Amino acid sequence: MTPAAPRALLLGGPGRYPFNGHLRLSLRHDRARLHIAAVVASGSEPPVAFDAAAALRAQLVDVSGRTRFALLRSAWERLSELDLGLLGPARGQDLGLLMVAWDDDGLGVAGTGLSALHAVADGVEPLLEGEHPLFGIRGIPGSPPGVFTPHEPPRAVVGVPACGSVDPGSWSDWQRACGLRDGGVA
Amino acid sequence: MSRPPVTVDLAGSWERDVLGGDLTAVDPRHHLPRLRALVAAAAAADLSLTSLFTALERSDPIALTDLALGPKAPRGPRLIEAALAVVDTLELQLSPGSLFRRLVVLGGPEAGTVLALAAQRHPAASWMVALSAAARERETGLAHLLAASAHPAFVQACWDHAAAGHHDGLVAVARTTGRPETAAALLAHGAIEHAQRAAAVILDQHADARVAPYLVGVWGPDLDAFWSGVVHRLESRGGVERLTALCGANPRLHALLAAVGRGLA
Repeated sequence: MTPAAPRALLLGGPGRYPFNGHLRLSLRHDRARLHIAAVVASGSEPPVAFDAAAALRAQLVDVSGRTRFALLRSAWERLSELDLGLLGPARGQDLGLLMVAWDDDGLGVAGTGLSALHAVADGVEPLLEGEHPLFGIRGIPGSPPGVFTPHEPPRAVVGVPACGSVDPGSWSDWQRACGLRDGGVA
Repeated sequence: MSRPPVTVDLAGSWERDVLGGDLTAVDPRHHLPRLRALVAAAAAADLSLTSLFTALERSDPIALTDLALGPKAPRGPRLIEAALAVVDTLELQLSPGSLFRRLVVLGGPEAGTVLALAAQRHPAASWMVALSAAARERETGLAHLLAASAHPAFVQACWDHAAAGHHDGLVAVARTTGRPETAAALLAHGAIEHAQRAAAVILDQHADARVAPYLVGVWGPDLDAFWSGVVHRLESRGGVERLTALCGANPRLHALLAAVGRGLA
């Protein structure tokens, strides 16, 4: 039996609407899978942020590829074709995006607008922090950025948006902080 | 030695003149005990106090405050009617929160009238939440939130009422206004079933309201578990159609919605 693909989760923000402009999307092609978590236009009124997230979802829902790398490449290509005017007042410069792709050979993680990654295994541990080529990118990059390939695939990868901070505590705190309401990670 | 009780003859000329607002024969401070007794007797006899209070508003606001709000102020509709007629002046004598709390106590069954005026005058005041509870409104928070619905403080007021447990009031406001912040506030405070009721009435009765963006903002991007508790609360085909459009590709939810829709046909 193929092990479950690690999920992509994104930490919510502060304030009254911590998941304003958030979306999660799961895609599967043959044996390759892609989980996406994103946030866009989170500083806007909820309908504006919701529409921006919906535009992002609509652009990503057709992503295809038979390997983790092909899925990630396809996603970046789709994003590069997106009308940035649909992504809210900041035209996508406030985008936080985490993509976790999985095939039989392992895991590939890519993203933009992130400041840290955490891995969910038995507990929640830092996966990447500080200076890393995956971070420091804002908005949709002009060319596809690199792919991070952890050796030990976690059950989930949690991204911290660039302007966010993190110290949720226990795993149940992390779940709440990520807006995960379905009982956890498979 | 205690003072002998002041006798009041409501048919007397002094009393009739004073109740009519003619204070030429009155030194309010000197006659305060007599005025208190007159106000109490007149209120008990269901006579209007408005002319007296209006006259005192001009001549002696401090005496007015004692008569309207002091420890010996009478209770009931006549007191409230007269006090609300001079509320501008009373608000200068006492902080608005204290004033309206006292009027709610004195108003008894008239507390709703007091609450409505307080909400109209102070829609952004945080003390309105406690006042709504003190007034024993049937759907606590309704008067305040309706008055605040056009005010920038509305969203904060929804959050405050949700935190105070005024969940039925928020559902009532959702029904009346279609404002999605009501459902979001309930959800943010863990009142999930009430949030689902609020979302259902908004979907049923307010075709243009956009409830999903606010719920996602509070709950997270996967609303399917939330929506599954909304489906059986829908009471209109329009509500079913609107929720169907929001549910994406979830086959279980679509089957539930189709079943509910058939029942509403």
